[in-house]
Amino acid sequence: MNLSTLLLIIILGSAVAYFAGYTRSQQIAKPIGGVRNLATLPTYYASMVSLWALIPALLVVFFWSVLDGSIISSLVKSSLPSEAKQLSDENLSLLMSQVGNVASGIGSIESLGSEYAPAVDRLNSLTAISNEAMPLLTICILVIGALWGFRAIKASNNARYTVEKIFNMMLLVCSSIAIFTTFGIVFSVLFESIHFFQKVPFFDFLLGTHWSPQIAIRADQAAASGSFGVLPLIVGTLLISFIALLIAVPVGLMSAIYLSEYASARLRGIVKPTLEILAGVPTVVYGFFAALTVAPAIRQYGDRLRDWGADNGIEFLANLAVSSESALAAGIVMGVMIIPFVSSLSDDVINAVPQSLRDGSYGLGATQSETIKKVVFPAALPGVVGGVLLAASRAIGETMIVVMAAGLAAKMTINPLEAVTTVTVQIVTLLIGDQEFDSAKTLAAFALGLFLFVITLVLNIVALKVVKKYREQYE
Amino acid sequence: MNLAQHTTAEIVNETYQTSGHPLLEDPKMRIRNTNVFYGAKQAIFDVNLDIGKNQVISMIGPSGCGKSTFLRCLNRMNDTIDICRIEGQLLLEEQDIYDKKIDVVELRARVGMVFQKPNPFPKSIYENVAYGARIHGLTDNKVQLDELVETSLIRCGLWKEVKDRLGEPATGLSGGQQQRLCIARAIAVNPEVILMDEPCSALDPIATATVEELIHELSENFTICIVTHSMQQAARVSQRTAYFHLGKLIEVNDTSQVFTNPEHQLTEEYITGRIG
Repeated sequence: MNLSTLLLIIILGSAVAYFAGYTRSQQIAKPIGGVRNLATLPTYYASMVSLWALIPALLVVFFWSVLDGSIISSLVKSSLPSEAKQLSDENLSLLMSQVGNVASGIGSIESLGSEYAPAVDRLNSLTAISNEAMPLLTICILVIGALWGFRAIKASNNARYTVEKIFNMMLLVCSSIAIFTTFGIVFSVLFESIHFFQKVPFFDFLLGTHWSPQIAIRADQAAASGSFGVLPLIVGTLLISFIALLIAVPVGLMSAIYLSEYASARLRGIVKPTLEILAGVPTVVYGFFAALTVAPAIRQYGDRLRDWGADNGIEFLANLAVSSESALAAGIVMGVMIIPFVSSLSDDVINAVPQSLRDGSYGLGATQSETIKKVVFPAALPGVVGGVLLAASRAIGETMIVVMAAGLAAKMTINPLEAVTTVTVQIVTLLIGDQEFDSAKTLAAFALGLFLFVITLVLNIVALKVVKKYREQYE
Repeated sequence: MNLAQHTTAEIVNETYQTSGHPLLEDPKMRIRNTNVFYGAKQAIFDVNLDIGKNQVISMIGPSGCGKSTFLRCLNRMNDTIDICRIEGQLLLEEQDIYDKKIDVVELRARVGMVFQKPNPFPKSIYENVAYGARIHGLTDNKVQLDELVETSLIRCGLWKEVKDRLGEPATGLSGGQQQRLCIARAIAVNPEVILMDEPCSALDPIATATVEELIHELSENFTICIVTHSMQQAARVSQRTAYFHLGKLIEVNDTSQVFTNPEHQLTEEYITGRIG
């Protein structure tokens, strides 16, 4: 019996339990004068019975499926020949997968060696037992659960609270999934980073000014020392994010002010959703826009400026060098991308400023722009800062635009006309190589990930604090 | 039932005569044949009223009678409401305030306003009072500004309470203090007329008494129009009282006469508590 059939049986079983529970509670209600004399409605009794059937059965299936493999393999290991038990962990797991292959009919026992025949047989028989036992056990549990719930249908038993409790528990489980996933990611990144820092000293990573993660595979290989100074990446990341914010903050803020203070309701209804579409454009589309349109345009203008400078003898212009992939191009396009983050959030907080404050200002003879500058904007400022910080974390985490428009060269420069790279881009390039998984190059990706995580976490905490403070402003 | 029919008849009847003495000689503000509309709905019907110099006039009437709407016409606060339309003649010192040449910002500096709910800006106490003066450039230097803030606060009786914490946020003051701060903020601009829209309705009785005393003192130098729900308050603070009913100005008279010997039947019904 396969898993989907079993799940179907469980669902059908709990449906049957539901109807049985419903009928039973009606039966109980009849002699004592109707449903109103039960402690709770028949649907709750029915739900209780069906949940009693459903949840234990599902738990059995879940734990059986999770633990099944490892229990069987540990049992099979005991019937391996004695010399196999001396093997290292990696070789042992390789051997076990070969045994598994033979057992499922891929490859013959001759290629593996006849001394492994008992192990193969053992595996086959255990799998067969497991395949038979699981449905049997599950159905038994289902029935027992349903009967247990069925017995609990009494006029005095308030099944409403039982259902409430179970529902509460389900909500708790669902919300903890997200939390545990976050913890899982953080710890996996953390542990791999610790491996990395065993190979590369922490301060070399944090304060190094040279990023070149190639590791020599052969001893005589040229230019492959491998150095992991993260500073050029941070400078690149901050440079591009800074350019992006330089575009997004003024444009986003002003459009927010226009939308919330000046635009008619009809115009606002059209413009605001349109602006938010910007946030829905896939970043890869922005990326090729940056790489194919903006970056070449910037280069062209740069070249013209240089020629003009050379003709007119202006030295610093004559020496102008614009790379075809530049931080400026990536920053500008990224800035456009994050405009909606700034504008939409700012628009919301500006709208949240009470009309009474505006009236107060108008009543003292202030113009609309004075009111916005001196009353509305300062009152909305903390919320606006929150929006800007959110946009900043988005800019720091952005990868695609940078890969396509700013290049891969880890140069430590604050010249926006040169090619730079960012932390996220380097994570991508480190992991798409063909290095083994425990080399410093691959592990460096985890260290960078951790680093990025810490930066955005700090930004988010700051943003949350600011938003919290904002709530206390005028209430 | 009888009353409802009576009031419906009032609305249908477009021409009516305000009882009492709505007009004065040499008034501060002159309001003639004024109608106010919100979209298609008419809120104020053909109001004629004079507001005397350095007097307190209170406007009373049941909820929704248009007294706040009328008040907000006097400094064109209704301009901020798109669907609001005003007809008629409103003169401040014989100058039409709805004239195209009038600068509405300057008008609001001359006709200040205090609102129903205290609305201090989320700034310091000092900055709240200095706000108008800064905008209009009323002072030349810090010393003058300090002085202006101090006199405004002294006139509102708030100076003793806040002089040691001028830099603290105004939102930390109590409700009554906040409302007096809003009045200080309004008089710092040195307006000619102060409009007050139910200034005490969010305050407790003690704070109300302080503010009423303040209004009384301010009437020596300012013309004050106050909208109030409390007839006792109107009786305590004002020289003249105007009674509004469903957008119409029913009666204007000296306050003492309105409350002791009203001319119009509706006024009498309102002050004796039969409608409200």
